Amino acid sequence: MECKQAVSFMHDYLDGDLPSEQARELKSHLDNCFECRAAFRRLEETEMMLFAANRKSEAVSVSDDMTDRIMSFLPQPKKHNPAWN
Amino acid sequence: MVDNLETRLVKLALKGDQRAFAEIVDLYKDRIFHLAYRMLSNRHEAEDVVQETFLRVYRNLDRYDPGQKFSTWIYRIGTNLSIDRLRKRKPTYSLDAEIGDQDGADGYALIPGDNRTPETEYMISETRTTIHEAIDDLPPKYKTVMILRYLQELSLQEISDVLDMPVTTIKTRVHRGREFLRKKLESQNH
Repeated sequence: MECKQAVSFMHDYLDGDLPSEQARELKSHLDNCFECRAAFRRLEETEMMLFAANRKSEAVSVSDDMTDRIMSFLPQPKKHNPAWN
Repeated sequence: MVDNLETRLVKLALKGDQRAFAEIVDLYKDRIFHLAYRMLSNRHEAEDVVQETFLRVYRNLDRYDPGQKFSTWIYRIGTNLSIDRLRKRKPTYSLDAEIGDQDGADGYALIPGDNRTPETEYMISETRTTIHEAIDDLPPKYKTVMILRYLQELSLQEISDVLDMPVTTIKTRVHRGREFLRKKLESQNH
């Protein structure tokens, strides 16, 4: 396998959709290619960091009164729509 | 078929039940805010997007197709409104970012609490800042995909539904975005 192909497989693997046959090919390439092994480790780290850095516990959150504000902006209630029955 | 919560709330809201709509707002306001905030790096604008999103949802409730996931529908509205705002800006959005918003952010998911030292805390907050800055630097089409994937944790298929683009396009953008971020993180560590 060429390294370029291996990189493309690495991304598919991280996306969770590399078929097992290709996963085996990737693994045997990684066993023999130091560069790709290092690249794969860094990609895995990046993936983990991305999820970790963006965990839902965001420092900023929406104003407490947002729901009230939105409700006060709304136009008058819509008429009942018979199509929904 | 049993309706899910959102579909039931939409039906009630269409009958004029304001509380049902407030319930929808409560369910989604944080997610839409975080999406918009990460896209725009500006709290005020992000809140505007949240308000506009719900106003559009309200106006178009009767056009909501219960065969589609409600989350996909509302994400599409919120994403499009955020992209519109990004496009209207001059291409210097990272400079507009509010300073100091990353302070006190807890990106500690990687390390159990007991093992935290000042050094690891510093490293984590540095990494978090690097990642947020790097995401800010991405062109909008990559930025949107990366935010939906990593901040909102949508699947590739869901992102394809929200953006109405083929899943192959989404994959390509995630791959390029990931490579971009990897390079940024490497240059930080050297």
